Amino acid sequence: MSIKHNIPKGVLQFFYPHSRKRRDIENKIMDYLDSKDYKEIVTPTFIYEDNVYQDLYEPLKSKLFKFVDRNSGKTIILRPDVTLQVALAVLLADIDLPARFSYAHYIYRDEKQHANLKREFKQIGAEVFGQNSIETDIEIITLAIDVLNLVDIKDLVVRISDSQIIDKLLDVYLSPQFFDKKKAILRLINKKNLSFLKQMPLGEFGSIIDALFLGDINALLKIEPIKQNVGNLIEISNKINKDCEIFLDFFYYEYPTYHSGVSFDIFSNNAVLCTGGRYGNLMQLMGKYIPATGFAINLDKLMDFLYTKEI
Amino acid sequence: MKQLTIALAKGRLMDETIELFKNKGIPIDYDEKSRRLIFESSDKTFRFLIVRAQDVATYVEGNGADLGVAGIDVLIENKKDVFELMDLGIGKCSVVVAGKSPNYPDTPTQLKVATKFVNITDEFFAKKGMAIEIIKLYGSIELAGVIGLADCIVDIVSTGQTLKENGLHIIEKIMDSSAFLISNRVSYYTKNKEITNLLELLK
Repeated sequence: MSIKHNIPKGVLQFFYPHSRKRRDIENKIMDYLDSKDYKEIVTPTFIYEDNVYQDLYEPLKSKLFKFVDRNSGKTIILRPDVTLQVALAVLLADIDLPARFSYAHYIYRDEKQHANLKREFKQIGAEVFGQNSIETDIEIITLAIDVLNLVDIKDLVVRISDSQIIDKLLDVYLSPQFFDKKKAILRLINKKNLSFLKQMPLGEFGSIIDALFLGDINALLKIEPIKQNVGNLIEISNKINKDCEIFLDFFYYEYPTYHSGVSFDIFSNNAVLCTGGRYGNLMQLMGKYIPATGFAINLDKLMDFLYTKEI
Repeated sequence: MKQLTIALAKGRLMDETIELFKNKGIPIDYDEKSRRLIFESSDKTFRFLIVRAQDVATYVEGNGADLGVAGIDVLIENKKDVFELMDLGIGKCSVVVAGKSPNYPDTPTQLKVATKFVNITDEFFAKKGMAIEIIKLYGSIELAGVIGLADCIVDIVSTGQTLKENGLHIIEKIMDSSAFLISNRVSYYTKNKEITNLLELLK
């Protein structure tokens, strides 16, 4: 018998008992977030492209599923990200701050074939708006760790960074004639390519690259423009009172940028299980600065991880 | 100590890498005649995978290996999301445009360029504002220039001997390349002590 029907690349179907386990895990996490006062928000599956396009994370712009809305003639996209939708909702609804949200939604990204990436996957996330203190950073990172512990994932390694460290240093130390090189410099920092960076005429910034890369805290705490940020990261690390390994990466920069300020990843063994951080800059772009931070967990990757752990 | 898995590019670069590692005191006893694709250092601190040059970054990005040794030309071409931790100073070569004469040939329409470096070629000519058509090949790129399948080629040269023997000239250099020690973005954090030790050793 030849089967003529097939499902598209990059999407999944789940059968019992896997489908049931997946639902249980999702419910367990959502219940926990709810108990911590992160109340569920439900957003539409598709949105107008022009509402979000400008503020969308650059690499996502080429991965949108699009179609035309017959009612308005406008282009509609399947949501490639939930955070942006929640942020928009907060801005439009004039919600009392601080506000906490959780969600569990499918996300759609038109990835190329053979890249081992899914075109549809479920993301569970939590967001806090309206609080700028490092206590909020500690709260959100701790919450993410608790969620992973809740589903029996231990041996966590947490990477925490602050993009302001690199921003401030480049602002202060990079001579104006190299401003046009800034993009290239940020790309090299993103790649941790010290070999190429050291060939560039970076002035004083060049002399502290090693201290940043090696995490030489004593040296970093003496550098005036970033003293506060370094101190904050250390305080965050000390106050996360959890059984996990914390890696403060001072030489970290997302490029293209999404988070701005404190950001983090949580790993176990060989997998990235959670990603999060501050994105107040995005709120600013959308019209009004409101401090914001949050995290997202890819449920399908999490289930894969749990499945592999079991066998 | 956790074991580090390192993907190596089969061929001359792998020989140079093993030589470098041995010189830095890593005990490797590799039998060149063996067909095994995995072997360990005698002290078991490292496990090596033998893969194609083009696949090194794929293994590292996908966490099939913690580290890898790959030419920066291949890394830029394949746009893999890995850390480029250290220039090892081996596998030195250049990516160049070459053709039958040392200048770009006159063409009535678009310049036809044969290469395996599709992205590097695209970006390079786009910056120059030249419209080109790329013919993707997988090997013996020089031949396309000689036979006239393309007006010119973009390929790597180290000594320039192959170009010379095939009667081709360098028209323009695009970039210099050498091999980098690359790292998976998760392993860098979960095996940082081991990786930092290796970086220190290779300095």
